Amino acid sequence: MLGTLGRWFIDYIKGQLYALGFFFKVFKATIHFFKGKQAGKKVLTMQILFTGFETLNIIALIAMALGAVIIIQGVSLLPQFGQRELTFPILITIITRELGPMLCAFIIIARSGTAIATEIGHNVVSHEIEAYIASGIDPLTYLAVPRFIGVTVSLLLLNIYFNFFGLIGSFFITQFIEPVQASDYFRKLLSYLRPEDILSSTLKSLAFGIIISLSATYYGFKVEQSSTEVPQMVIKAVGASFVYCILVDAVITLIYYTR
Amino acid sequence: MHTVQLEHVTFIRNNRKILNDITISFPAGKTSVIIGPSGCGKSTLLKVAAGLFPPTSGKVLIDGKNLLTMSKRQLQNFRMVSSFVFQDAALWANKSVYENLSLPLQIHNPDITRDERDRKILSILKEVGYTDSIHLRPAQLSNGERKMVSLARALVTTPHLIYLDNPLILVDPSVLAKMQKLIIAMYKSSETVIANFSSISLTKRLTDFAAVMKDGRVIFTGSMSDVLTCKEPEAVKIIEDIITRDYSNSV
Repeated sequence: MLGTLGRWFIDYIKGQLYALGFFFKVFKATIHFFKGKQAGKKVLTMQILFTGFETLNIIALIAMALGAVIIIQGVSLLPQFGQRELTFPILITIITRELGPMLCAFIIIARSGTAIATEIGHNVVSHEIEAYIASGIDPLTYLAVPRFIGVTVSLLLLNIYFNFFGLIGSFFITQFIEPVQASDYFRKLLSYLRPEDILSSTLKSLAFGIIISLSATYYGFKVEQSSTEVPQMVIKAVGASFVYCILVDAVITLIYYTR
Repeated sequence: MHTVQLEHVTFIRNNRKILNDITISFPAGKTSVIIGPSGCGKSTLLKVAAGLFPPTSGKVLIDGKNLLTMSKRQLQNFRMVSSFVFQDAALWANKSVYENLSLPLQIHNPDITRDERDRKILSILKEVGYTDSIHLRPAQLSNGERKMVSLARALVTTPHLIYLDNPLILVDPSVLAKMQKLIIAMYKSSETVIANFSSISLTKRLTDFAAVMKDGRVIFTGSMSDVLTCKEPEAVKIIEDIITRDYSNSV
């Protein structure tokens, strides 16, 4: 019993150190990525296209719907407590600081996180990774780094895009309930938007991008021999992404309120 | 010409010892063939010797330099002169035939012009007998075509050290003839070839140096005639089994 526990603990520590080594190598390779001619630059473009560009529709739709829901709820509920002026701070809190980065992250986990882990897992099983090594191509530089940069940059930009549509969406709904001048609406809204909100939102989306891309590539490479390992590792990648995104979100929010 | 040596190499995967304390030296400029029953570790030995799998213990020496402790530049130089043909082709599934061949060229010759690259790719594809579109993906190719493209990918960078992991397995006769012709050309050149063939007839014809394997160990080494006349009971049994299997396959 004690022996089993000891072995489990040693394996766990080894696993953690291996993961740390992987993250360190990806960070190091990222620094050198833009130097010289890199075959991975095409992979980076494709990753930004897939993670960023192809997600624009769904992000716009969700952001506008969320902005609309907040305004409808705010306009109907808050006046009952004499707190109508809280509508804008709530909108900023939810769209910019909290749900914007988190919802974008969830969408990217579902779309790109799963796709990356699956693709790399299949690359391992079909010996494509060995073929990269044999051809003198570092799989980390060619497969992991472009995805790391692509997902992180895409998430950062999607968060800005989400904010834009979330705040625009709320404006359009306001026009149905209680028409206001666009200049008045946005002046009021922006007066509640503080640099800390932008910083918190940016930090979160940056951290989420790093977490999602590293989890997906790490678990993709953890597949060893069998194709049945691929879905298992995809599930682990998704689980780890959710857990670490939520934890990091809680930490950044905590720092925001306790600073 | 390049030499490949393994010193006390052991390779363990999933708690299973696949290679057990192997010491062997593959001569430079010769064709060396690894012979043995299925599952004895031939492919793993090739992959360890090619630096695709790091050994659990022991050393892999390329021209006397330890593969594990080579600098990045030395390793890149080794990759530039070597290539590996996989048993299952291992083509990059999300790339076209053209991209499968152009990527290694781009990596090893970044200054090559597009025209030059295209010329090289088309010429090597013609040489291996591939006649279909270069824009097809591996999934759209037949098994034989995949093997041809795999061989073309390995040869497009004009390597001097070639690892062949059973490239002719499950290939139809028309493709087989073309691929055999290329392999014979490699044999006649002064390149170092380390191979694992399923066919004993090809092995007999091409082998300068043979290593007989059993259960992760090398049990006999020597020229092909040494192997065929050896008195080592384990090696004799393996050779007899392979010859019988080869004969029944051909019948």
